[in-house]
Amino acid sequence: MRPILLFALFAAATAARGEPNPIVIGASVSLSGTYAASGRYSIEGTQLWVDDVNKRGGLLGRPVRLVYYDDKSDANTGVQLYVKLITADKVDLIVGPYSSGVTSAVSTVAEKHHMVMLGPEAADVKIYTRGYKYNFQAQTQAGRYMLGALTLAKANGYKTLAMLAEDTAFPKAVSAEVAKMAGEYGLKVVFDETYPKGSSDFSALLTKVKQIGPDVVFANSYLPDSQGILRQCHELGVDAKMFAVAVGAAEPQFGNLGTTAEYVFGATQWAPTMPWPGNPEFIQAYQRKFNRAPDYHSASNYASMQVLEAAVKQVGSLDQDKLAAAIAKLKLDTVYGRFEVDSRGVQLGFTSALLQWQKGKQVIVWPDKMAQGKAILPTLPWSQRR
Amino acid sequence: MATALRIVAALAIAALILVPLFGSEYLISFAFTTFLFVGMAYGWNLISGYTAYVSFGQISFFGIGAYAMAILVAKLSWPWPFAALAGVAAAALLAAPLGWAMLRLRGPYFALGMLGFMQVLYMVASAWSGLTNGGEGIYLPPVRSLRPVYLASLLMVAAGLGVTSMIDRSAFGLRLRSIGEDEIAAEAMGVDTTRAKLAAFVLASIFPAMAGGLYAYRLSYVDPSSAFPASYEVQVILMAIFGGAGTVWGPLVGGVLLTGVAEVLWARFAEMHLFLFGLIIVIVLRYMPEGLVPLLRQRAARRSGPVLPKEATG
Amino acid sequence: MTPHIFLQLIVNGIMVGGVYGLMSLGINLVWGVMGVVNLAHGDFIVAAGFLTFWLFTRFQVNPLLAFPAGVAMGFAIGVLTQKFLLGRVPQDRGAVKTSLLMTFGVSYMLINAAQLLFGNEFQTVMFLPGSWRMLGLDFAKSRALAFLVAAAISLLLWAFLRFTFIGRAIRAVSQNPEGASVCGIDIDRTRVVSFGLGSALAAAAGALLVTIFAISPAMGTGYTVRSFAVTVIGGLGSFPGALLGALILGLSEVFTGYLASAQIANGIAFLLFLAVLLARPRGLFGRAVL
Repeated sequence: MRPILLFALFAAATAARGEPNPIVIGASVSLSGTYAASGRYSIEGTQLWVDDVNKRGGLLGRPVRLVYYDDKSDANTGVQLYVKLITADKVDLIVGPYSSGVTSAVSTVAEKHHMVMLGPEAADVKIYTRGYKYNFQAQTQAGRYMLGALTLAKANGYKTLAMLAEDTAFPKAVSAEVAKMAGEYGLKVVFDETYPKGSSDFSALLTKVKQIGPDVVFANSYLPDSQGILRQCHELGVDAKMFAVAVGAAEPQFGNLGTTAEYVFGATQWAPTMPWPGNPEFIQAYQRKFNRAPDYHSASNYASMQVLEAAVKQVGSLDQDKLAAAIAKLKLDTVYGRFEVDSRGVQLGFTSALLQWQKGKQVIVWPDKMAQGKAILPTLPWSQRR
Repeated sequence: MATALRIVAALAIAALILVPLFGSEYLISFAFTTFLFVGMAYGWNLISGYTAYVSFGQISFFGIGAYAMAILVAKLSWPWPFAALAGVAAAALLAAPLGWAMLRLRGPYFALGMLGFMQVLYMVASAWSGLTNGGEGIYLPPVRSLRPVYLASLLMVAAGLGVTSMIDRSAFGLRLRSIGEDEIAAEAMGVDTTRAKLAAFVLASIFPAMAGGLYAYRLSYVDPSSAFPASYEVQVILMAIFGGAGTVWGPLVGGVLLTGVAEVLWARFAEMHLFLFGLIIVIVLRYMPEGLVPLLRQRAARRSGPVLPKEATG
Repeated sequence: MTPHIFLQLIVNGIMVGGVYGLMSLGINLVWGVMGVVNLAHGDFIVAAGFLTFWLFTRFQVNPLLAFPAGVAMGFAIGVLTQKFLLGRVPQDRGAVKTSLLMTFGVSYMLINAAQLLFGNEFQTVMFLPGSWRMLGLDFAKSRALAFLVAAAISLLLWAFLRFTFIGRAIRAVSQNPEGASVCGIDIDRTRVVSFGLGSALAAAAGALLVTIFAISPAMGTGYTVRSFAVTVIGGLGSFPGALLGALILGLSEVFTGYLASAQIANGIAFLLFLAVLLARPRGLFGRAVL
């Protein structure tokens, strides 16, 4: 009899000391599949914010907990996961997944359930032109990714441009936007083709590019493809005065290419040296927690959470309608830059910068006010390197 | 005994119909997904369970149904039930010549041929962007309520059960089974194997096509990788063989049990769930290759003792 | 298309074909000898590729040295699969179906295991960047090396099957199991070795592939189907056929990619596969099995 009494007392005591109801944040992230490498950085950014906010006493006085699942870089799976998070796990807040493709599909789920969703990895503007009220873009617009590269191309008098893109939402959006703007930068698009998701052999496309001999080559895709394309450019002797990639060059892994990575330009929406408030502290905390430097995906996710936090504090509750109204008007300086959306939810504040791999290091070369060094152009032909 | 079983069945049916009225969205969603798989398992069972022509490409029809739904609803504003039926019709129309070509191949050749066909369809879906939007996919208008699709999926399962049950007891079913046991002998005995196989193949294509259409409508989005999900093929086959290929209740039992198992696995062991799936397949095949339903029947038969022919009690 | 481009495309196609050839040799061995379709084939390829990657990045092991490790791993897993799983399947009329489905299951176990051990991301081994220039054409170093190794292995395999006892036992069992048994050959053991070898060949292909392309655990199925496509095109049971089929596929992919689009190039393997299956199921040089 006595052990049971003791146990009951113990249980009661524990219950009395119980924690207040936590605020649960739900997310799906690409932990496997094509987007896995970048997906990991994304969720780490969110996790860092959770730690950070809990250290500061939580949100609305309640501790914050993060629940996340792997969407396998697949839109399908992402949708099922968000339905689960919202209807079964009943999370209080959600944040968007990695890639425009997946975000596009899950945005409908968020909208249907009247849950605010920030899209920290959704650069495709089309997602936000569907009249949705609860979805907001928290990533630089696709069209702005290659601005730096285009500016440099114009400044150096380059005339012809070839583009390769993965056949999915974001890469195609980048290509489309660049094609629209090319004329303003004195460039003529001489090659603009796509390849299916999951391709590894680009040699046929690159052979075509080599035949055309453009001044500038853009690889508008994600990390594995950016690496594969550059590698095969090297192998096939595809030379150009300038190589630029939309995603991938900002990741340290791009350096695995060794000398092949030299001179390659890449868009980055964020860099450690950018003068945004809270940036240095963010970087230090991240380094301490994860033992590696953050990349721009980490920063964009962290920034999204900063926006959510500000909105929740402003509204004083978790009411999704009020949060939506607040975010629509919010102007916030985050570690990723200034957050501001237009009436459709399209991101106006965030911009992009351009870096170049020089002697194994990433150097920001544009815009001037953030530049750490000068761009090295034209690119040395492959045969002359060693 | 039979009355008790009938009461249980009636209750189960009532419960299933009431789910959308009282269940949470997650429950409806879960039931819906389960029924899609059960329906597909019935389809696979018809061709691969009875005739032993193992196909690894039934998802081809799933994709056809999915794209038919997407194109008709998003681009031509058809009402979704008609789009679903159109998808089924398209699949059946395609299955006829396809089956005629493929069913000439034996065993592994047929299996792989179907797998290859699915890959070809995937490629067509990616390349024919005028029709399918290529890799970008097609967006459908969001579904307001899951109830109608849920009911449609329930109907599909009922159809699967009904059709399989009828076939199982008919001469047609006997012909199919004879093909599964020994096709050459069947032909020697005068069975028109080509016709029978083809009929089964076309019938089998209806279920994944319907499932694909309903799935696309619910997801509100279709792209090549979601229209031809290779992992679904595994799960459907596993459900059919786990429950018992070539039986009437096998796909239902297998489908319901395994969807439940998959849900638990996915939630608890997200990192390992594919491994566990594969392991279950291997274990089932090693120790109960006939499936669960025949195993249970054997046990029941053994318990009730030998059945003496009427003459013996004479 | 200039003659120069034409020749360059041919070079690219042949080099890729070399690795495809290696992949399909494994299938030929297993399918030809045992009538078993190994659906996990592509996953052996990927698993070995990842092992090589891991050894290269973690311990800086030269891929050429890591190569035997991948091959050994493939052999070991193959042997275990045959001995404890496939070999125990009752040899009745359901055997083909059961074996097929079993390898299906093994495939999923392999994919997930590779994911757990080596991660999910796309990985590659940047071993020999760049290319050699000969006769005005570019020979990508990594692909040329893979081609040479694949050719060497094919030659070794041929010699093995021709001149060693086990090799001839394997061929005997593939032609006539009862006859071989009567001659005193241990069928079960031969099958175990055969499956192990088939998997080892797949692993070899994987270890080479990872030095050329980026691979991820999910790519296994694609490789499985490609391997079968090559085997069917060349003809089951014929090694020269398999190699020829591989070259045909490599060239088709490269030319289609250049002339049409990348999407179609991706699917050309399956188109050819289906075409051959329907028009001439025994392929170019295969025995008339059907």
